[in-house]
Amino acid sequence: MTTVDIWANRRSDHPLARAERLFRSMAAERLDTLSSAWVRLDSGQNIREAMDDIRSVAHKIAGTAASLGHGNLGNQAAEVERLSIEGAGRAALLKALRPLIAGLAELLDD
Amino acid sequence: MRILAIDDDPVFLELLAGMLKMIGYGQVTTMASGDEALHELDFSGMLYDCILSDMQMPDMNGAVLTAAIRQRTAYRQTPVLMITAMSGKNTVDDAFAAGATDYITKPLDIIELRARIGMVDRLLAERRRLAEFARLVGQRAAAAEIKAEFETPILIPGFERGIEFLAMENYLLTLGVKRMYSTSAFAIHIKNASIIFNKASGATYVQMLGDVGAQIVDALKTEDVMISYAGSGTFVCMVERDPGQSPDDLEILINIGLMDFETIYAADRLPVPQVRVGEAARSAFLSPTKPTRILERAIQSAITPPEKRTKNGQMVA
Repeated sequence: MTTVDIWANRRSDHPLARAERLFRSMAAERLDTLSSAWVRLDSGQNIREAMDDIRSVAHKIAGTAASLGHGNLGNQAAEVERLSIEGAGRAALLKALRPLIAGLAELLDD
Repeated sequence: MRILAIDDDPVFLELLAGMLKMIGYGQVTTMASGDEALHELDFSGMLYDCILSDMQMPDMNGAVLTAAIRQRTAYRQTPVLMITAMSGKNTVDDAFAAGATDYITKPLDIIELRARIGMVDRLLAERRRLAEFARLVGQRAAAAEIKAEFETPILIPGFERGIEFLAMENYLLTLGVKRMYSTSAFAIHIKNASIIFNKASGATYVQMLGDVGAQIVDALKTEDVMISYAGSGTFVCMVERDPGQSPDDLEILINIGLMDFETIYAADRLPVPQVRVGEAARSAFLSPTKPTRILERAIQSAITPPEKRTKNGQMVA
């Protein structure tokens, strides 16, 4: 039995329901952080700070999303975290950030 | 089982608590940082059975937290499990060296979580069983119980450099292929361990193991080595590079150091422990085996007299 199987029913009294609610409620704040960092990275201002913000948020999403059934978001975040750790160029990071930001925005629309 | 979980991500803490509840562990307290966790351990009055900590945290990382936890007497042997992203597996080395017992990877997989926590549960149950036995039948009978388990790996009280044998095995399993091939293990066997074990009380025997452990640390002259007691009078050391000393030189150094204790052992009518150092064991490039096999080979070499070993340290069939 996998986490996804367990979580499939998504009942409000499910042991993971609180984590899912918190994950969604924090999505807006994380989206803001990533969007702001994206702008700084794109404009070349405060790049180090922007990279730290991106790595930190991506790390947190990568560590939880898949377990809550958001596999794609988890993979996108893991890729962004990997690029941040490896010191990939701005272009590669900006490209990887797009689907992650879009995925978070979709979560808010649900 | 009372569990203390530490992570700077509140979502992860909720997720972890939820998953633990799903597999039958509902007594979970969560903390957002290492500082908060240490404060909880020191002042809450609660004694936790297991600690789960994120490895990568902004102010105090998991390795530093583990070292601080191990300084607290009540938590010297408490299982501490690191939680780390796959990308951060290399950093787990520091946590193992600081005294971590095992690690769990993020994102969490409920099957892995159940297996790892189940292992902790069994370890705690065994410790409770021994403690209860000692309480019920008294020290003398407890010594007899220790005698019956001469082979059991233990964490030697007062031997700060020693890590649990289980932790060493878990550490080996974390190594990637490249680092696996650069890691070697060698063992140090107390030749007269069983004689001392049969003559001494349980407490004296454990004290003797501490003496030998201290001499090993002195003789190695390096911090860059993991040391564990594997049971049956045998210590195992693991290094990433060449140990730098031949087994013969190391053996002489340790045995000379132990002779300083001669009068103390004589007062207890016990022989001075004498050790044999085995050949270093490494993973073979062309015959991959399970990572923990090098520990078995290192131990086998140390318990086998040199004349019965082959040139590569293997025992003659």
